Amino acid sequence: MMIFLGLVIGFAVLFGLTLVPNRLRKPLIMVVTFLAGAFYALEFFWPTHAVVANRASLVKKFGEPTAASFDAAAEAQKAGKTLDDDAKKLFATLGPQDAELAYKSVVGDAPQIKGEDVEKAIAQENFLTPYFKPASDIANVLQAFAIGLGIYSLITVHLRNVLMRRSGWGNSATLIAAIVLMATAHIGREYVKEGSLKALDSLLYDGLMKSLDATMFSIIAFYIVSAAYRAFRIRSVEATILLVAAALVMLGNVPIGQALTNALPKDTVIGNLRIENIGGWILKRASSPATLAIDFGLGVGALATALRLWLSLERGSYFDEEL
Amino acid sequence: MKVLNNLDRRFLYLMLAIVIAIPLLFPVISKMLPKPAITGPTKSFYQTVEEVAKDPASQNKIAIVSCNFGAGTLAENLSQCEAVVRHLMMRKIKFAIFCFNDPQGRALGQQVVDKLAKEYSYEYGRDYVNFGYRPAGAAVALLKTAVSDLPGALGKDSKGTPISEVPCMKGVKSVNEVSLIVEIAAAATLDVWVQFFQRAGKQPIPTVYCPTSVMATEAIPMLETGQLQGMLIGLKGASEYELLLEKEGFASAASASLSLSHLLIIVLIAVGNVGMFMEKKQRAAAGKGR
Repeated sequence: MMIFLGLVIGFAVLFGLTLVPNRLRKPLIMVVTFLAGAFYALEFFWPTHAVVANRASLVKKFGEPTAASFDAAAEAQKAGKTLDDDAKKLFATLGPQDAELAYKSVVGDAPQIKGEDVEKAIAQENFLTPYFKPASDIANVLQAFAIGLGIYSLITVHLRNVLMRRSGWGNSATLIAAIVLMATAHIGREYVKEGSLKALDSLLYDGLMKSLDATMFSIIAFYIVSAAYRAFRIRSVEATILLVAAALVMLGNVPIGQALTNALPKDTVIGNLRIENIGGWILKRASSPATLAIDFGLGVGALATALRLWLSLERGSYFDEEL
Repeated sequence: MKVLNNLDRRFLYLMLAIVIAIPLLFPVISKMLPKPAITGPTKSFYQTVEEVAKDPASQNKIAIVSCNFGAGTLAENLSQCEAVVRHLMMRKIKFAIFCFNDPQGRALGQQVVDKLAKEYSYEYGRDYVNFGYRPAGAAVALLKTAVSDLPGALGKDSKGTPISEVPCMKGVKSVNEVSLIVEIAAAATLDVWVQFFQRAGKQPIPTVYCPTSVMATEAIPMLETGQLQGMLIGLKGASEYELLLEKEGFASAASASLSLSHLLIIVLIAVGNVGMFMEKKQRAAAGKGR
C-alpha cells in the first residue's frame, strides 16, 4: 500500500515538474542541486556533539524523556549502583534528556555502570545527522525513478524501431522481450516464492544471464593472450623494460613461476631474488605508486567536476548549451 | 619464420582454451603442479580473521561480508567469498551478507553460504543474515546513517524481516558492533567503507579486501598505511587461503589453469620475439645478397 502511495506521489511530483515554465526550470535545478549538495557538505563539516544513539527506538521503549536536569550518578545511587569515572565523564557530555535515555538503556543488573557501556549508547552527531536516513531514502527513491525513466526511454526508442520495421528491428524486439520477461520473472518471484515464475526466473537469471555475464568477461582472457603475443615485442628499451616487468609479475603470481626460484632460501638476503619477491617489489614499489599518482589526478579532477555540478557551472547538452 | 611472428589468433585462442580446460577436467594435473607460496597480504588476512574470532567482544558483534561482485568475476570473487565464509564459519563468527554495487552479489553470497551452511551447522537468522542489495547511488548516505543506527538504516533483510528482529543482530546497533568488514569486489567499492564506515566508530574496524587481480595494485597503499589488514589477490589469493584453511577447493584446482595460462602467454611472447628477430635477420641477409 505504502509503495503504491509513494508511486502515486512520485508521479504527481513528476507531473508537477513538467508544468514548470521553461524559464524557471534551470533556476529550479540549480537551487535543488545546490541544496542537496549543501546538505551533505554541511553535515560533513559541521562540528558534532555527543547525543544518545538510536534515540527513536529508545523513546519507543522507555517513552519520551522529561528531565529538565539529569544527574546520572544520583540516579545510580538511588538504584544502589555506582558509576565509574569514565561513565560519569560521558554522561556529562550529554544533554539532560539524552542522558536520561542513555542511563535507562545502560542500567542493568550489574552493580557498576562502566564507561564502555555508556560509550556504546552515545553517538557523535550534529543537527543535520538525524536527517541522513530520510536523505538516504530520498536518494534511493530518486535512483529508482531514474531507472524507471531509463527503461521507459529505452522501450520507447526500441518499440518505435519494431513498429516502423527499421533495420535491426529484430534486435529491438529481443531487447524488449528480454526486459519484459526478466522483470516479470524477477519481480514476480519476490511475491510468488514458488511455481512457474520461480522456474522462469531461475532459467533466465541463473541459467542465462549469469552464464552470459561470466562468458562475456571470460572472453577478455582470449584477447589478452592475442594482444600480449602481438604487443610485447623487443623493439625499444621501453618495450623491453615493459616486457621484462610483465613477465616477472606474471611468473611471480603463479605457482609454476614461483617454483623456478624455490631453491633460494626464503628469509635471507638472497631470498629477495625469489621471483615472487621480485614480482611483489615491482607491484608495490613501481606499479602501485604510479597507479596512486593517476588516482590522485583523477581525484582532483573529480573534485573539480563535482564542484562544477554542485554550483551548476557545468555546460553541455544536458544543461543549456550544446557540447 | 614468418609463421612464428604472425600466428593465427584462432590458434592462440585454441591453445588457451586447452591450457585452461585440461587442469579443470583432470584434477590430477593440478595436484602434480607446485603449490603457491603464501604471500604477506594473505597471511595477514587470515590472521585478522583469527584475531576477530579470539576477541571475546566480537561474540556480540557482526562481521559484514560485502559481496560487491557479479557473475562476470565469478571465478575470482566467488572463490574468495567461499574461502572467507568458510573461515568465518569454522571460527563461529556471526556475519551478514551485503551488497551495494551489483544486485547479483546478494544471491551469489547466499549461494556460497547455502553450500557451506550444513557442513558448519550455520542457520539463517541465528548465525548469519542477508541484508540484501541496496542501490549504489545511495550507498554513501546509507553507510553514513548506519554508523549510528545500523538496523534503522538497512531496514529489512532479504527475507523481509526487520533487521533489528533478526536474532544474530541482537545488540548490534551501530558501527561499534561491527567486528570485521570483508569487501569482495569487482569494482572500486572499497573506498566507501574506508572513507565513511571503517573509522567512524570508537575503534577502527578491521577491514580485509578481496579484489580481482587487476584491481589489487590500487589497494596496496592501503595495506601499507594500515587501512587494510589483509588482501586476497584474485584467484591466487583464494588458492593461498584454501591452503591456509587446509580445505582445497575450486581455487586450488583453478590455480593450475592460471599457472599454465600465464606460462603460455610467456612462451607465446618469446615465440613472437624469436620470430621477429629471425625475420629481421632473413631480411637483412636478403638485403646484403642483392
